[in-house]
Amino acid sequence: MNCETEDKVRAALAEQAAGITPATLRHPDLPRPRRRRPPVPLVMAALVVALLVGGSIGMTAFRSPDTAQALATRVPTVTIGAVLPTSGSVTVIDGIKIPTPPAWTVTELTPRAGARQVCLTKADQGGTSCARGMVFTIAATANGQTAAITTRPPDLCPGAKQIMTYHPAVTIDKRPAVKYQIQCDGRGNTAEYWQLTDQTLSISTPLTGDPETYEHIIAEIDLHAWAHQP
Amino acid sequence: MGTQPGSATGADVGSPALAGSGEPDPAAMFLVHYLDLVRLARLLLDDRETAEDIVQDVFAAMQSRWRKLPDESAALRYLRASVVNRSRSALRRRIVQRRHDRQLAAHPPVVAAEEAVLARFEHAAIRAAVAALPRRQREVIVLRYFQNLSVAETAAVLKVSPGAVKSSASRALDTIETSLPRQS
Repeated sequence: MNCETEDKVRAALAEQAAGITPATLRHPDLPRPRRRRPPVPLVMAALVVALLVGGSIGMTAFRSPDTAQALATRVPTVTIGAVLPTSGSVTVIDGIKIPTPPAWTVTELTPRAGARQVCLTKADQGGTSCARGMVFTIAATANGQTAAITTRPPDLCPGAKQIMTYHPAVTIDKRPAVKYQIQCDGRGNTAEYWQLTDQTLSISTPLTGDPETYEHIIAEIDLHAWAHQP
Repeated sequence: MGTQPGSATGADVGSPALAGSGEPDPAAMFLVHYLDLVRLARLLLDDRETAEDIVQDVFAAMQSRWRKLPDESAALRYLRASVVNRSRSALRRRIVQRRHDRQLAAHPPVVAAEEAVLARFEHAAIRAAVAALPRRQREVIVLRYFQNLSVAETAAVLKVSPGAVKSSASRALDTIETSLPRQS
């Protein structure tokens, strides 16, 4: 093989590729995953099943008010907003001690598979989505085992480019973690997303609010009494 | 402040996945590999806009599959193979372009008018020669000499045998060499 030709090809391709730089990219952000459109027969089948089940439930409810009430109570309810007790300036969740400033509350959010989620926010800025609060996602520990959870930085910039800076070597209470700093269009307020590298705990802060307080809370979080030990 | 794809700091490079977990992280992999994959697609295709669209599609598709990818190297293999396959499909769709390619294959490489001046230079001649190669040979050349993949890695991406990679590379290099301007 002609090594000289190989070197020339390498150099020519590298030169051509160098014409594409980060500054000239049209889409500098990770695209959103696309939802797959289910095949039409599946949609039709689902529609027929829904009609049959819905009709059956409707007829049953019409015949018996008690049954209708019973069915209504079987509809899953979402437990959002249950305020967790705070002792002094610390809230303890699964052994994790989270510093809690005065007049802030910790509320339980809808749990996700294998993890519980809580929202730490000022008392008057809660709400069902915790859009203005810090979200803690804590993997459940059972029989001494804590399964990793899969979370990712939140989408905070609808209609704008979400620029993320990756910090691979940070810690949460001396445990290895990664951090993303998130800005919309690369300017303005900065949100943060922290995650232990074993993916058992993640913390996200909002774009708005008080970054210094968020930083203090994350710096002072205490994991020593948490059942999950590395 | 912000990090654009491909402008990750030195600390980022080589650590695209969440450290310690081995599981690929799409956001981190995007930061580290997006630019490189756009360049790969650009070298396989004839326009950069399509190249970028293809890599965007690949990352979008990857996010629905990334839990099935055991580690970061598997994810990178998946990304590379997807870029090659989608580039191939894009070329296939362009019937006019394909006719043009046939003409190029039947005749010595013809350099576009605006490149006529550049053709005096060796790199331009090589680029023209690579662009005129048959699809498989072009893919082998780009993967071997731009991505710097080994013969085995190239074979894995293209789903062909290592022998086929070697013979394609050899033929392509011969073609490129004959297209180079002779130096007196």
